[in-house]
Amino acid sequence: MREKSSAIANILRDYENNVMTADHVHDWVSQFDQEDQDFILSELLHIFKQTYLSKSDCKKFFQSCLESWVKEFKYKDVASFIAETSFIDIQPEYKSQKELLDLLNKILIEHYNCNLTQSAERIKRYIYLDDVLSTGSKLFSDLDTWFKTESDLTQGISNYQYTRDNQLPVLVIFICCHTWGKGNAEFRLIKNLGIEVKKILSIKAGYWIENNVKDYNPKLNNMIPIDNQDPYIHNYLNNLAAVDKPEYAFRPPQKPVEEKLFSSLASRNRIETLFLVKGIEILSRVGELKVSQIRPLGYTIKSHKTFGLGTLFFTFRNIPNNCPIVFWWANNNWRPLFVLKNRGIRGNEPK
Amino acid sequence: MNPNKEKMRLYNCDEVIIFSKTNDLFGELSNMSSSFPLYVNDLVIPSSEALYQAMRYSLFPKAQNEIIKQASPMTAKMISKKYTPYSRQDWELIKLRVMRWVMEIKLSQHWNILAPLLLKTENKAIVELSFKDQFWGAKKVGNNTLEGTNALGRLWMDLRERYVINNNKIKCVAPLTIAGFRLYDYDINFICDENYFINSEQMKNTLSVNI
Repeated sequence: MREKSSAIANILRDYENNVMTADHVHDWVSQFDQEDQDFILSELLHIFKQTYLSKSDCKKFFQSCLESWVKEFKYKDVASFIAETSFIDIQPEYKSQKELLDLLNKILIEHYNCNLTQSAERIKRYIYLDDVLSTGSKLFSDLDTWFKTESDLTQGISNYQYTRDNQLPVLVIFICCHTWGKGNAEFRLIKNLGIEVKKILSIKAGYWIENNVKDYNPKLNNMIPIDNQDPYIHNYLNNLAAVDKPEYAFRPPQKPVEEKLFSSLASRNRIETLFLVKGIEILSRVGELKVSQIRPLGYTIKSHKTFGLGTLFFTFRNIPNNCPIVFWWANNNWRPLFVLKNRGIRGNEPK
Repeated sequence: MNPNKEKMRLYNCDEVIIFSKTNDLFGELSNMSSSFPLYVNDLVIPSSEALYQAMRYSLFPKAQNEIIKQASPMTAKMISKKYTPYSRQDWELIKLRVMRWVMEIKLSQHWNILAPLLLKTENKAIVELSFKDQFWGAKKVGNNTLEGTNALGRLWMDLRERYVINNNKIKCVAPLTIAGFRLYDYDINFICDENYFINSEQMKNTLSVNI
């Protein structure tokens, strides 16, 4: 157990919102039943190796994006690409986009002899950068707002008209993207703005979470439990006020066809159930839950009658609140493994 | 295609609304238009043609996926041809119902564009001009005459009559009661217009949280 706790703490060592030590990991896992603790550590060690993104991983990802754009758009170097690219900066101060743009700026200075103040001298494309697309609601609202805002370049013309009429690509880059949410955001943008948005918008990501159970052969590299007919779990589901899409609550036992993220199908079934049951137990201590998007396996769309998105992707600067709540809940007699960033800021208080 | 002679119609070109190429007048009514993606089972389907062709193989997810991932409706149709021997055995019996269902989804999810367009056709016959397909469309048989079953045109006329003229917007399209009518191994339930899922998320309330 001790070795596994150390190994996990070592992987997570650059997490920015709390110190990761073997003791901290051990303390966290000790909140589960004793017979499950060693198993949980083994399985999380297996998962974190694949889906924890350290700061240096993140820098590498940005560098690979920059280098592939230079090739794709046929520039001689990154500096000349940056000069003709505008980065959309639409989120408030404490949100991820600003911080990621700051990080990108540092990378530009350190490796490419340029910086973001030199961007957008002439605009040939726009880039929207963010860490995680989950339900798609945030991307939809950000881009819908941005597209409808008046363009800086031509008075009386919206960004949508300007990019559409000049065929300027809007590249959306996420470190991690859920396919279910991506489709939702894309279709809503098409409906709200017009079909031409399809020609200018492209959404790309470094890591994809294929979480729509109804898609073709999805990887389901998130937590979505099988239905083991546990009355405790069904009771939770039946008491939700949400009524939409109950068929997305469970995955069929034969899916995914091939297990890629968890160490085995048996381990998957076991840890999903453990986290779900523990999450329900924590929520049961809350009393009245004011934010109806909160579910045992993480935030989701409030109308969905499901257990949450079950995201298993973590970055050095924060983890999505769509991750199972056992990872981040910090109240009601539960101590988190990852302290969330911006706790206490309006709307982010997990209560 | 083997059109049933009794169901064939003759149309006078001067008196009807004709659609054929997607960029021409009323081209929006063609299944080959890529301007009307559909949202089914929370998946974006690039065109009505792709959905129709995919349902021909409703117990064969691999073929469905290959059809649906094509951005071009014409390519989707060509891919579908490759799998013809694997079609549902009852396909010829159900294909008209399937086409109607697909078109209802298209009308429902793109009502703001298609309903006004259908109103513009007044009460004229709507005919899909084709060079060879006399089942879904009609072909020229004389200087000014089109002949064919014109199933697609007649479906549009029926939808116009039933929904558009009364401004009776289709909110949700009911599932077809056809055995094994599945997309990627999942039954297809009610398919609703975009307002259904946009409003159900209550956007404004979720903006302040990080999702």
